[in-house]
Amino acid sequence: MESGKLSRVSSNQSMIENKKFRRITMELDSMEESSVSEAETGIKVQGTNINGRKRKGVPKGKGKETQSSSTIFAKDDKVVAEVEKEDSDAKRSKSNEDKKSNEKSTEALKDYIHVRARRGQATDSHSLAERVRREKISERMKFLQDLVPGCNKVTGKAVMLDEIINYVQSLQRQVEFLSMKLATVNPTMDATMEALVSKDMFQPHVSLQDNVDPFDASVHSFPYGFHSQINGMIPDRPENQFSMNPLVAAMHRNSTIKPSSHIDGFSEGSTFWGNDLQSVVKMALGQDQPQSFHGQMKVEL
Amino acid sequence: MSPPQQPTSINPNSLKIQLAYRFLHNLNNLNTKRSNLDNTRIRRSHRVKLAAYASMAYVVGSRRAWSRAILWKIRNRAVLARFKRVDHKITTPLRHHHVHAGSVKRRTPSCSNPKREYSDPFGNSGQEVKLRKLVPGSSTMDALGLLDETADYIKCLATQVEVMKNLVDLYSII
Repeated sequence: MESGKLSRVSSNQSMIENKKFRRITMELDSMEESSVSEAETGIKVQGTNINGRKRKGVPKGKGKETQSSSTIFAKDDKVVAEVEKEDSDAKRSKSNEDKKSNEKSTEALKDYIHVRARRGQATDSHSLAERVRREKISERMKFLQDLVPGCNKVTGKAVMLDEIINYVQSLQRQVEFLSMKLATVNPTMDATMEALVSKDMFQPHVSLQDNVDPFDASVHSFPYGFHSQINGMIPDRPENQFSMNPLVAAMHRNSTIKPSSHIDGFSEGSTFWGNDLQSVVKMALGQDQPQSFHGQMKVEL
Repeated sequence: MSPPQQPTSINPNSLKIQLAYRFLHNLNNLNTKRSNLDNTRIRRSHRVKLAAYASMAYVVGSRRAWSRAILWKIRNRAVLARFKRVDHKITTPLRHHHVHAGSVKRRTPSCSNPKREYSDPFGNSGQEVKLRKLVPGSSTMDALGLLDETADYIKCLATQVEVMKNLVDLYSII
């Protein structure tokens, strides 16, 4: 009979109300709240057409208020779709709505996750939905593989999970260790904090009217000689909305900002502080509070 | 001493910068507030660790379940410490953050979905349970969400570690 059939995995929750067509709805991921990129598989499914009913692309009566957190239903659609036939029944246009992008669009067309079962595989909606889910999981595992260093050669979910667990544990241990170190190295931190941290640096979106004045206003604890150096270091650009201090400048001195969108801070250069910056900060702190600070350091050491 | 090269454009919205600022701020507050009490090294390192996690969660905000869980834990700890109640009857989480409407399901970290069995969907032996213990706030998610949260958590943890390393270096030089 008909050789093509589109199985549609829809995310529109209100579709369930439509009992016109015989559909098998299934809840794929009811707890999905983040937007998920839908993967789809490619090829046609053998299927029969029940009732021969035409189905318009997406029923326009359906509610369009879809959220990405709505449940996903699998449907067995009874559309007769054949490549050759192209009659009005063949809603081939639906296949063009296959998308891998975010599901937050409010168009009703994009509510469906079009999945086509592969040739020779089971075509019931359960296995299809499971396959979609498995593909999503493998997609995320690939992303995690990029995130965890040294996992390129590892294949398989089990080993990957082990690596991930180890990595998270090691990161947490590192945080603990570093916090202990920080507590040791810098007991009171009053002196250094005053030097390094300026007060209004926590309003990152304070727009600078002139790019000169906020430097004078905010960097109050700096000696004047050092301050002029800051002005020299940082160009007065309208993009700089932070009030600059050497900490910020140092953090970007040696960082290579790659255009990776996901891993923003992670992919920046490893050498955080430049050598010249360290000497600059040394000078600043040296000018600021030479005696008291060294006294504290000596006590600690 | 003039800088040899042109400074690169500083992105104030990068995760690293935000983390650095927030962490320093938290540290500063931490040490100025409680400098009279508990100055032993263990307590101090514990506080620094708390400040690190708090700053990490604060920067991310309410977008992620792990950050919400951390913030909730920390704030409840503060409330508990303030009132010094013996009976731990605080069940309503304090939501100080502006929660994005419609995209956040309100959950307490302790409640778990009774309908679902979230153990071992991969068919792996107990790994997912381990992962759930590691990533805060992940007990109420299925496998897909768990992987998402893990990825975000790893990214933020790594950035936090980097910031802290550099701070330690900076302080040890001086």
